[in-house]
Amino acid sequence: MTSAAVPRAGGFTSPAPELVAGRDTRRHPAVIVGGGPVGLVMSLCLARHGIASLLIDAEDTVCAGSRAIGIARRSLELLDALGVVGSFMQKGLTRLGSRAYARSKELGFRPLVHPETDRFPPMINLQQSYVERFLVEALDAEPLSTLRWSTILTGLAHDASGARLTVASPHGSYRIDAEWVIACDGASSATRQLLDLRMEGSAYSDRFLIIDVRMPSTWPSERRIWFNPESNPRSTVIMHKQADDEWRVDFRLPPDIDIDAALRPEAVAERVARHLAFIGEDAPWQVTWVSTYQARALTLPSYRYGRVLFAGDAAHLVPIFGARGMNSGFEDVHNLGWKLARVIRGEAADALLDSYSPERRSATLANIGYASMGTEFVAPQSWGAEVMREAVITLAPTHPVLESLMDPRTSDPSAYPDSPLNVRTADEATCAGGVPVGATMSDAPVRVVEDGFASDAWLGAICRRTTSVLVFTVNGRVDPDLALALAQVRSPLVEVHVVALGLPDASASGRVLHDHTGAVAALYGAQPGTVYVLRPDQFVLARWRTADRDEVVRAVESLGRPRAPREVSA
Amino acid sequence: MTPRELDQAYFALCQAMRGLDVEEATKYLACVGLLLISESDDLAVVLKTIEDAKAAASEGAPGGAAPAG
Repeated sequence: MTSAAVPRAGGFTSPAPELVAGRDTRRHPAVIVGGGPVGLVMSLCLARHGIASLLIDAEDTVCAGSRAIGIARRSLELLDALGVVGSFMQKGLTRLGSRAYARSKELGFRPLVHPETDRFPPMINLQQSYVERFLVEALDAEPLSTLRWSTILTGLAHDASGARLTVASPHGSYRIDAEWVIACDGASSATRQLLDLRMEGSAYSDRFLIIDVRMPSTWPSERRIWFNPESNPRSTVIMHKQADDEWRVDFRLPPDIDIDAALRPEAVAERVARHLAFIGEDAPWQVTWVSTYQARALTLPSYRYGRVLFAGDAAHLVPIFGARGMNSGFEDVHNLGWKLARVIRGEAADALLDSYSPERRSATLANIGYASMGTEFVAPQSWGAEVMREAVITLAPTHPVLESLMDPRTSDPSAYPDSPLNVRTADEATCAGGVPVGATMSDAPVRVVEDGFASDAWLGAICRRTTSVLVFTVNGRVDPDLALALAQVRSPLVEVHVVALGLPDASASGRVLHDHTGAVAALYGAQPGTVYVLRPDQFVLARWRTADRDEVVRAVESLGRPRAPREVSA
Repeated sequence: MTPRELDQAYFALCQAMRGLDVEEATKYLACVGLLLISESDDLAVVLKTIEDAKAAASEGAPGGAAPAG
């Protein structure tokens, strides 16, 4: 065994900012603090909505090591909406499922199912260092995004008119004025400390040793978990395959262990060697990164403090089991991006941003609930929990109904059933099945028919960035009254998509989305006359079995109106 | 379940627990509980049962619920 540090991409430098009297000459619409995955995606989100941002980061490089390796389907959809998912899919490995063992006995395999109606697999594995690298590359090509590396936030004040940041950098200390600040600066958020904000929640006492090991192996990309393996008695060991023949191995450490001693290279190597020998891996290997982890379930009481908004680990810390950390951070900034863009452009009132905190905090509480259950199973917090886990492990091979208790409770899309933005109508109660208000839209294949030409596409790739109105019809012909109302709300902020449940009528005007597989009708519980209004972040804002045109217009306009005169087409 | 069936189930449990030490009995009862839970189709009833059993087990134990009356 050898130990080798993986060279980090980076040593990034930034052009000198234009300064006058120790002050950045520009007033920035948005300053993002923190260049981890969440901050980088925030910058991309704003750029895709046409908003320029300045991102500052204390480091001059991407992170080292695997860190947050699980990218969930919802995050892949978001990255696709930003136009960057290709490199992630190319480099990442599709996670096929989860295989569990008790000591050396296999308990079973639970596949991660990839239905045909989904564009992306449920989960891919990719080292966070690659995640950050791909995002930095995308931002380097984005004229609306400015990245300033080696720039440390040292002061922050804000009021109703905006925010004033003080930073230390290779170009000296200077002041930056901003309309909005988005704190994406992670678990040790400097922004949080400067505003003297405290997180609420609890921490687990267990410590985990996290090791990246480079080793050729033909074992497929499965999550493997060993409870109490002979290689590390009284421990839990989890292994994931990543790109470049790199394996992520997590060891639960005994409570009385000397952490410093466990981190010594020879102790790390000995622990890894024991486990690899135990599972029959005999190829040469080397440790490429080592870290420790302690699970915490913490959240800020609010994610908005005047002109400062918090996202990702700066706002909440979720135990890693279930891959809900980075994925929930991506959902945070996807929620925030369009709202901030509309407020900055004056298309929506500042109050639109008030919905960010309740929506995302409710998602955090759900994530903490699931991730805490996952943590409790990986590292039981009491003798009673240990006994119950032992009962599950013993019974699962003969009682498949219990296998799900061994699942990592993997990240799933958030839902905002209680969002203040949701538009509830009397007609909604008549919608049978389908996607409820406050839930994420369901993706499905559609055939785009326009001017006699047809091409295959995905509904989720069509309804993004703007408010989307889905109008379900028999053949693409919309009721004239509704068509007139929709023509009036159509704008750069609103797209109307006509869905034909049957074959589109050749005389139907404009573009029609043909539900050629029937998947859309099934997923949306749609019949001719059904209307859905989707937010730019793809959540269902309102729906009707039989649309009331005035209600549809009100729902669409509740998310903002364009400032420029609207283009009205018949 | 009729009283006769309850009798049968109860004494089958007693019989099964005969000779077990505390650790084995605990694990055995955890298994029984899990299997019964997994067979139930009413979460509310399961949660109420868990709560009632916890209260009963805590009666008289240090820090447990005070005896009724």
